[in-house]
Amino acid sequence: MSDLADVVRPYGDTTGDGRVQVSFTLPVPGVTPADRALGEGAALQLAGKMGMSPAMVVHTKPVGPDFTFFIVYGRVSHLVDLSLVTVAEREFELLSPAQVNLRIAASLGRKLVVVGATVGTDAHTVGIDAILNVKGHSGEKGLEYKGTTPGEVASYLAHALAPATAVAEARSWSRARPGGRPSPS
Amino acid sequence: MPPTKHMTGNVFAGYLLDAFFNLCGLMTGQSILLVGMMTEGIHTPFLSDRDLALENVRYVRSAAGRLGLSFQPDAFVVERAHRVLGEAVDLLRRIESDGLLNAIADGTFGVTKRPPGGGRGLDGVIERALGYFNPVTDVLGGFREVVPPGEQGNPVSGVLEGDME
Repeated sequence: MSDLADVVRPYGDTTGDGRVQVSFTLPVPGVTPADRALGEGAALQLAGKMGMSPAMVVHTKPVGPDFTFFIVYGRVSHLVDLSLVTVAEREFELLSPAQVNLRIAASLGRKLVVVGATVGTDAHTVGIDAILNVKGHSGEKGLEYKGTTPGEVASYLAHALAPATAVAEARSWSRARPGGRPSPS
Repeated sequence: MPPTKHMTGNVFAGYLLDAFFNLCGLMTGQSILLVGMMTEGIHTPFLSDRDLALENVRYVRSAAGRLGLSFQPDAFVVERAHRVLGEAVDLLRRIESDGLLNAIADGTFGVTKRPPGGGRGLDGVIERALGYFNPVTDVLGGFREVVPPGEQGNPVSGVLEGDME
């Protein structure tokens, strides 16, 4: 039996008003007024099934001819019981760049070559750049910062070619002088 | 390239960040602009994230894409600044010869006219009682009571003076 003090609900403007905001796209046209009305009704139906009541569609925008984007504000009826919350512990210790560098130096004795590639039809160049290069994401610097040498980035790689390309790339980098660019081959 | 280093899970702040990035790209005439998405680093952008990102670029381009032109010599901003400052100097000269109270009465500031005889004077203003105490001004420390010599113990005659320390 949980304590009443453990039960919370979202805070919008006043205590316990349960107000939340969600946004989503539905695969329905939203160009004509009739389409728009149907789409907003569909958005409200989804909001209702998500436990939002009352809900209000505050923004409707067609995305191309076949999709519509909605922003919905509403009140959720669900309660959160803090006594039932489970906190997932990190399975591995989070190392600082200095600790990573130390481990690489101790176990490898040279820079670690990391080769990155993306597969499929989305280039993900921004993401792969953020992961591999010093630029990083969300204040965390990329792998380059951590005593590693980022390999050249390959995008749109065919799945079957990925392992061979990675091995060739890594070989080309490990032939290079420590910390330097790969030797031209 | 969008500012991934500064992108967090706060997609709302990320959208603002991308707008500034778009402004820099457009003002410096980049021929290719890699458009930032608000869900950078979270997941592959949703259809709506991509649409919002394009809306961001279009808005910045139409609102401020040619902002750089405004700061060249003889541009609109320069001409406008000269005109506004010139009019301000003319106005100050007119007020100097006419008097500030007349200018206020004429509605020079904020249109509303406040004639010298139109106020309520001292109605509603109460003299401070002997032993008047206001803890708020003490806490704020912005003002202290300055009592002229020889009139100690009569706070009513005190004047307020800005504390410059």
